[in-house]
Amino acid sequence: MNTNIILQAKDLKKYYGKGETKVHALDGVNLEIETGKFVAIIGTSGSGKSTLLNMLGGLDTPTAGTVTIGNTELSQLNDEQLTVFRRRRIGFIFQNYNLIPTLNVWENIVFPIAMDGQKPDQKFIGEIVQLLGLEQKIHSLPNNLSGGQQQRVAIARALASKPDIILADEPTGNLDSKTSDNVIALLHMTSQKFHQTIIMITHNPEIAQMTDQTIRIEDGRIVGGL
Amino acid sequence: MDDWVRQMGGDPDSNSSDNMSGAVNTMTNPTFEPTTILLGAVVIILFVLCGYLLIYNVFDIAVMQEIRRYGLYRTVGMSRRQVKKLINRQALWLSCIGIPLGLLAGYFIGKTALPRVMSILSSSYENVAINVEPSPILFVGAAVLAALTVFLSTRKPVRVAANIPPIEAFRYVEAAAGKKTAKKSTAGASLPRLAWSNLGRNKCRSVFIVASLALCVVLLNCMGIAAESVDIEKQVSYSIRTDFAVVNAASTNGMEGFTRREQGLNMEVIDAIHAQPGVSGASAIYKNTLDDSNVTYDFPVEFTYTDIDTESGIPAAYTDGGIRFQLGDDGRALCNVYGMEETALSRMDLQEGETDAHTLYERMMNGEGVLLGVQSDMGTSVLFPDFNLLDVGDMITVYKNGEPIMELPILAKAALNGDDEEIGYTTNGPSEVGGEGLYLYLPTAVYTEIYDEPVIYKYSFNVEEGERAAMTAFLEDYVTNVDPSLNYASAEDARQDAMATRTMLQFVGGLIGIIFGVAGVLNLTNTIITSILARRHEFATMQSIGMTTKQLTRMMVWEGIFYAVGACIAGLILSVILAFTVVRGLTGSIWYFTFHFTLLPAGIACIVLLIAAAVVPAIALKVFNKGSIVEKLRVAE
Repeated sequence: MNTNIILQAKDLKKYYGKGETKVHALDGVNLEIETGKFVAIIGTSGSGKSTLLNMLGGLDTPTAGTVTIGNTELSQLNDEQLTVFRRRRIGFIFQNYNLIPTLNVWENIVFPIAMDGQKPDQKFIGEIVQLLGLEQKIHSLPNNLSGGQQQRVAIARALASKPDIILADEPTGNLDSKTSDNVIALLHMTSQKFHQTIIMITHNPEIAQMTDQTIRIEDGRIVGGL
Repeated sequence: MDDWVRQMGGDPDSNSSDNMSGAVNTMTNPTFEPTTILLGAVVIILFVLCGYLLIYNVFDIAVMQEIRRYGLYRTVGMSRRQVKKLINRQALWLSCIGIPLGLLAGYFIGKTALPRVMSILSSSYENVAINVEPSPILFVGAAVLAALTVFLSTRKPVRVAANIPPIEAFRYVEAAAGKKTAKKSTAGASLPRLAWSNLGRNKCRSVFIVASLALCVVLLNCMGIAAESVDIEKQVSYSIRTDFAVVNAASTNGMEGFTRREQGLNMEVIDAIHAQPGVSGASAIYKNTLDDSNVTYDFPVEFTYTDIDTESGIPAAYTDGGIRFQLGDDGRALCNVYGMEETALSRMDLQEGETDAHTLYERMMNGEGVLLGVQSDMGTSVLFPDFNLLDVGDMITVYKNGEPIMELPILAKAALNGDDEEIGYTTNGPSEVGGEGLYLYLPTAVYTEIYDEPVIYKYSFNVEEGERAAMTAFLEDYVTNVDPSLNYASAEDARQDAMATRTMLQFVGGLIGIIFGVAGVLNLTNTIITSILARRHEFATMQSIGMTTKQLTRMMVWEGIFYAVGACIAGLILSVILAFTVVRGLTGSIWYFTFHFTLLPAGIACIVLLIAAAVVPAIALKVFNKGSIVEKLRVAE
C-alpha cells in the first residue's frame, strides 16, 4: 500500500433486501484517498453516496469488500473496537449537525475525547474554536445557535480529537448559500492548517469544484472523477 | 359488648378520647370518627395519586409516541375536537377492559387474602366467625374511583395532542433542552453529567417519577414504624401478670364471665399444677359471686338513681357520673371483692397510700384495712378520674346479712389491668357481679373470714423458663381431656395475640407498599423506554462519534439511578418528617403502641429501588435500542 494512501476501499458492496426487491446500494466500489486531500463525492439522490460514506466510516458493515484506514481493516474490528477506532481516528460531520441538545458547545466539541477518557487539548481546541468563530458561544446550548453556527460546532467536534480523516455527509445541505460557502471555506482552511483528509458528500457541483478531487457515483458505482 | 370492646383494645367504661382503639375499631365496626375518616381519606388520596401518576405517564407516553400520527390527522383535516375525542375514546375503551379486570382480580385477591388477615387479627376469639362477602358499594366505589383517575390523568396528554400544530408534530421531540439557552460548564461530558442533563428535559415527568417512587418508600416506612411501635410487652402485661393462669372457661369467654360459685376451681387442678416441675409464685385468687349477695359494702359514695336490670333482675345504683354498682340483698353494693396471697398482691400496681406490698399485706392481715383497685388507662396506668371515687383513709363498712361486721379503711390504691379484674381483656364477670363499682382486694385469710363459701376463680403462677413448654402441653391436655370446664391463659398466648397485630400491620403495610413500589417501578420503566425510543437518533449520534454501547448503557443506568437517588432522598426525608408527626400522632392515640422510630423499611425499599433503577435501563436499552447506527441516524432525516 502506498504510504501516502490514508483510506482504501476494495470491491465494496452493499445489498439491501432479497429477490425482486433487492437493492444494490453499492455495487463494487474501489477507492483510494491520499492523506491531506479534500475530496468531494457527488451523485444524485439514492446513488449510494451516503451508504459509501457510512461504509468508509465504519458506521455500516458492507455485504462484501473491505475498508482500510491507515493500517486497520475495519471488518476485523468488533463493535466496541470500531466505536473506539471511530472516536480516535475519524471525525463525522452530518447534514443535520447532530449536536447533543443537552450539552453546551464546549461539551459537544469535547464529547468524543471525553468518551475516550482523555483530557482535551485545551490549546488546540481553543485554536479551533477561535478559527471557527465560536468563542462567544462556548456556553450556549445548541437550540440557541443558528444552523451555520451549529455546523461550525460540528466541525470543531470532528477536528477536536485530531482524527486521521473527516467524513462529512452534506455538511451544507441545510444551510443557505452564503453560509454554505463559509462552511466549505472553513473546512478547506482547517484541512490545510491541520493536514486533515476530508471526504465530503455534496450534490452541489459548485461546492465540489472547491475541493482537490471529485468522485462521481451513480447507481452504486463510481463513474468518474477518480 | 363492653367486654368485647375491651378485648379489642378499648375501654367501654371510659369516656376518655385517648382510650379508644382506632385501628381495631375501624377494622371491625366502622365508626365515623374524625381520625378514621382522615386516615381513610389519606389512603384513598394516595391511591388516586399513585394511579394518577401511572395512568398519566402511560397516556403521556402514548400520546408522545403517536404525536406524528395525530399531527398527520390534523394535517389531513381532523379538528382539534376530533383528536381529543379520539384519545378520550381510547381511554374509555381501555377503562372498559381494565376496570372489570381489576375488579375481578380485586375480588379474588380479597377473597383469598382477607380471611388470612382476619384470622391473624382474631386469633384470640375462637367464637368469631369469619365471613367475607363482596360489598357492591365497594365495587361500584372502586370502579368510579378508577374511572375518575383515568379521566383526571388523561386531561393533559389529550390537551397536548390536540393543541400541537400539524407541522410541529413531525418535528416533535420531547422539549429538546427546555427553555435554557446556555449552560456554564466546561467540565466536559462525563456519563453521570450526561445522564443528569437528560433528566432536565422533562422536569415535570422527572418529578412525577421521583414522587411516585418516593411514595412507596414513605408508605413502607410509615407502616414499618407502626408495626415496630406495636408494644407487645405492654399488651402482655395488661392482659396477664404471671406466666400462666387457670380459670373457669366462663372467664375466657367474652360472652360469659365468672359469676357463680359453681364456676370456682376445684383443688384437683391446683394440686395437679403443683405436681408439675418449675412452678413458683403461685396464688389462688378468690372472688365473690352473685351467690354471695348476703355480703355487701357501704362507703362514702353518693348514688343518684337506681334501677333493676331487666334480664338478670338484679338492682343497681348509679353515681352522678353513671358508674354502676350492683346491689346485694340489703340494698347495699355487692362490689368485686378478691382474696389473694401476698405473692399475687405484690404483682399489682400499687400507686397511692401504702405502696410497699409486704407492709400492706401485713396490715391487711391485721384487719387494718383494704386495698382499693381503680380502673386505669391501658397505656399509661393513670387512674381514671371517673372511677377514682374514694381516697386513701376513707372507710368501707362490710355488711353481712344486713349487719355491719367489719370496718376497713382504704390503705392503698392500685391501678387495675385486665388480669386484676378477671383475665386478659375479659372483664365480664366483675361487670355482672359488682358492676363497675368498687374493686376490693384482701388477703385470703380475711376474705375467707368474710364469705361463707369462698371460691377460687383463678389460679395464677409462674413457671421456670425451661418448663413452660411442658406446662403449656400439660394445661392444654388438662383442659381438653381432664376438665373441659376449665381454660388457661398464658403470657405466651398474650404475646402471640399481640404479635398478630404487628404481623397484620406488616402484612397490610407491606402489601400496600409493594403495590405502590410496583407502580413506581412501572412508571420508571415507562419513562426509560419512552426516553430510549425518543432518543434513538441521539444515541446513534453519540455512538457514531465515539460512545461505546457499554458507555451508553452506563449513561442510561446513571439516569435510572438519579431517579432512584432522588426518590430515596425525598422518601427518607419525608419518612422522617411523617414519622415524627402523623405516625407518632396516630400511634400515640392507641394505647398498645409505643412510638418506635425506624428507617429500616425505607432503607430496604431504597436499596430495592436503586437496584431496579439500575437494572431497568440496562434491559430496556437491550430491548428497545435495536438496529444499526445508520438506521437510527436516518430516523429523523
